[in-house]
Order: sequence, then structure tokens, then C-alpha cells
Amino acid sequence: MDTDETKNKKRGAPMNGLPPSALVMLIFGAVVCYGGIAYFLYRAFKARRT
Amino acid sequence: MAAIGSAIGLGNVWRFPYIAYSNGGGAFLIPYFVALFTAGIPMLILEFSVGHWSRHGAPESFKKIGKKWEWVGWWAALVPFVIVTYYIVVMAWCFSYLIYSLDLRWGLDAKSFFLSDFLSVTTGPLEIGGIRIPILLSLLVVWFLVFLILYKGVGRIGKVVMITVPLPWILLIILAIRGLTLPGALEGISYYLTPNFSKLTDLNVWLAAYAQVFFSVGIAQGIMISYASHLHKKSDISNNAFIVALADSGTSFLAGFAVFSVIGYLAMSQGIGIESLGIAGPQLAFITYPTAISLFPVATTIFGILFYLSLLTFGIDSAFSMIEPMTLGIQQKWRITKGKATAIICLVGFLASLLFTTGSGLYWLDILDYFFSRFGMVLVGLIECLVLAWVFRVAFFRDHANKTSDILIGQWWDILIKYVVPAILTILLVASVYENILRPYVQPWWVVLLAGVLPCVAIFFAAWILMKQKTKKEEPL
Repeated sequence: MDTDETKNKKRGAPMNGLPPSALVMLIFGAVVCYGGIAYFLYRAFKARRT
Repeated sequence: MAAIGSAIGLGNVWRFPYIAYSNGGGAFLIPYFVALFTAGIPMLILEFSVGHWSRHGAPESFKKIGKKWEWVGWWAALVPFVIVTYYIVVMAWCFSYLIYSLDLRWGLDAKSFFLSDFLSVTTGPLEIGGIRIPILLSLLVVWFLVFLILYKGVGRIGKVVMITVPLPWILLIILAIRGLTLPGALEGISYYLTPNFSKLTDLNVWLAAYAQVFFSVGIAQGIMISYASHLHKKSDISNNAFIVALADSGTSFLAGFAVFSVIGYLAMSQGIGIESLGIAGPQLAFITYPTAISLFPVATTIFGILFYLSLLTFGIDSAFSMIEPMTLGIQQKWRITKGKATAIICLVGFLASLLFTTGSGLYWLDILDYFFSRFGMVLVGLIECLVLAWVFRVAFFRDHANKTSDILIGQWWDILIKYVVPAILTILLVASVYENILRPYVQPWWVVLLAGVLPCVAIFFAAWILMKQKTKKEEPL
């Protein structure tokens, strides 16, 4: 059965915002990628200082 | 920085967003990160350790492990060298399109312009067609640029990557912001990120994730071994591997926003579904994106220049990193100067690239890319793992990495390198062979042999011949 999201996609109707599930994946991807880079860069700078 | 530049290439922009979209959207991020942490990063740590320990390029490193394994290093160096012969042609296309952006020469029919006017595509790979002069001129420019960057050695590479690594990132951020402000952008992003968790039970999705990580991070090409050989003795190996891998993933993730926002806009402008637009490979860069650029309300030229400049700068680091293992290999084998080694390799590369500037170039590019990414690289990765983990001692490299690393790696890493990565690569290889037996990638079948199997076998023999050449001894000072 089609959800509202897939119905919207099929119709090509304009959206007011991202579906919550897409928003969750956006946050997940951003935290792992950019949070990860920030963490390892922080460790690199910390190790250089000590 | 150079390793980050090497890992990030055209594939991040035109491959990852499409692979993610067609393998479960946002849900693809789960197998992707699993693959990154269980195969991509462990392999990067391994290659960094090998290069850092041997202080030599791939061929000499494998020779140090055992004289009879030198061919593995040559093979690893030859695979990216073959790839770069067509990769640089795509960059030459980007260079031409950068100039065409000034007057939006593709007009409203970007497909016809790309295939007929620009490439003059023939009816098939066997009808070679003539050399396209505009592509040839762009190719000369790009090869010359690569030569200029490489011939002075690591010092110049270090200076160049200080510009070519952050610049495309800045451009990509600008493109993503511009894309997200277009009408229809949210529909595009929704297509990219809305998860389809049922796909997680599909083995092919997991294989696609491992393949994406494997091809994107730049392992099994001798590149990371070469770069690590120049690292400072006290460089943190594990931390560097994590940063390189995550920077690569971060770029891919960001590129998805720049691509899908514009795709959403194009779909809305033309009143068609996103699925009917070309969203991967050359089709995205040279047909779909130019079409969207032509439809932009304002600043079309600037947007076109930014897009092709970002592709060019993304590609240039990867291009010279793919040449570096071969130049370092012959430089160390025959004790010739960096300039001479670079000149030889660039000249041979340029001559080989000429095939892809002909009317049949697109076909040969597609076929070679398919076989080298599916078989050549996977096979190198598999043999590399088997030699380093089973013939040599993987624990040795773990100890070496731990000596200089802030984050200590445990025995879990040995298990990944010894069992998990080889098993995954074997499955990938078997799946590709099986797929080609059922449905050959190109017809007739002998084109598969000629363009796919023959080059892979040829570089195996070339690696063997290179190993058998006498290494010139270092002259005493």
C-alpha cells in the first residue's frame, strides 16, 4: 500500500518539508560523516599538542 | 591531504548519490557505514602501514615482503594507470564543458549536443571513428597539467593539494546551497534520503555498499602505499585512515544534496518523474546537469562554471594519484629521476588515452571501466589481502600501525583483514563473473574478451615482466 510519501512522489506534488524518516537519515549521515571527521581531527590536534 | 584528494574523485559526485538512491535511499547509509568500518578503513590502515613501513612504492614494498611477490605491487600500480587513461578523458570533457559553460553551448538539447556534436558517437565499439579535435586539445591540456604537478615530486603535490582539496569542497557547498534554494529541490532530496528499510534484507544492497566503499576510498591501487611511503616517521597511521575514509564519505554525502536538489528542480520544471532522468555517470554530468543549468532562472553561466570546475578539481587529485604508483615504481626500479619517470608515464598515458577521444571512445571507456572496477581492482585487493595477511604476518602491520598511532587497533583488525575482507571480495568477484556469464555486459561476447578480459590478463603479464627486469642498484654518493 502506498504511503503519503510515495503518493506525493508519484504525483510530483510540491512538498512542505522532508519526510521524518528522510530527516532521521540526514541527521544519521551527517553525524557519522562530519561528526566523525571532527572527532578524529580533534584527536589528531590533541596528540600533536601533547 | 594528498590521500584525501586521491580518495575524493568524480565517483563521489556521480556514483554515490545514484547508488544510494537505487539501493534503499537513506537506508543505504547503514550498509555503507558498516562496509566503511569493516572493510574500507581496515584496508586503508593496512596500505598506510605497508607504505609507511617500507618507505617505498607498491612494487618495492611487495618485493620487501618477498621477492616473488613484487608482481603484486606492479599489478596494483598498473590497474590505476589503465584507469587513468580514460579517467583523464572524462576530465578533458569537463574542461571542454567548463569553456562551453560560458555560452551554454549545449542549448536546450544537451543529450544531442553531448552524443552527436561533442563526442560524435559511432554506432558501436568496433566502428572506431575519427579523433575529436576539441577533446584532443582538452586532453593535451589536462595531461600537461598533471605532468606539471607531478614532475617535481611530492613537494609540489603537497602545494597543489592545499588548493585542489578544499576548493572543490567549497564549490560543492555553494552548488548544494544553490540547489537547495531551487523549487522542487525538496522532492529531489526526499528521493535521495527517504529510507526503504526492506532493502536491507537484500544481499545485493550490501554488496553494492562494499563495492562503493572499495572503489571510492582508493584502496587496492597502490596509491595509498605510495603516499604513505612519504609520510613522516611519526605520522599517526590509524587516525589518518579514519580521516581519509570519513572525508571521502562526507564528500559523497554532500554531493547527494548538490545532485538531487538540481534533479528535483529539473523533474519539476519538465513535469517528469525523477526516475526518468539520468542520474549517474557521464549522463548526469554531461546531459542531465547541463539541461538543468540551462533552465536556471539566474546565473546560469556561473553555475555551469562552478559545476565543471568542481568536477575538474575533484578529478585532478585522483588523476595524479593514479599515476604516482607507476612513476614511483619505475623511478625506484631503474633509479631514474622523478621528471624522467613522470614524462615517460604521462607520454604513454596520453597515447593510450587517444582511443577514448575517438567516436567509439564512450563505448571503450564504459567497457574498460566496467571490467577494471569489477574485476581488476577487486582481484588486486583480494591478492593484496591474501599476500599481506596469509603469506606475511598481518599482526606485524598492526604492531607497526600501533607504534605511531593514537588509536590502538586490536586483534579484530587481523580478523577483518584475514577473513572478512577476502571473503567479501571473493563474493563480489564471483557475483560479477556469474552476472557476466548470465548476461554478458556487452555483445557480441568476444568484445567482452577483447576489451574486458584481455586487458586484465595483459596487465598481469606486464606486472610479471616488470618484476623480471633487473633492479638498478642505488649509486653510491
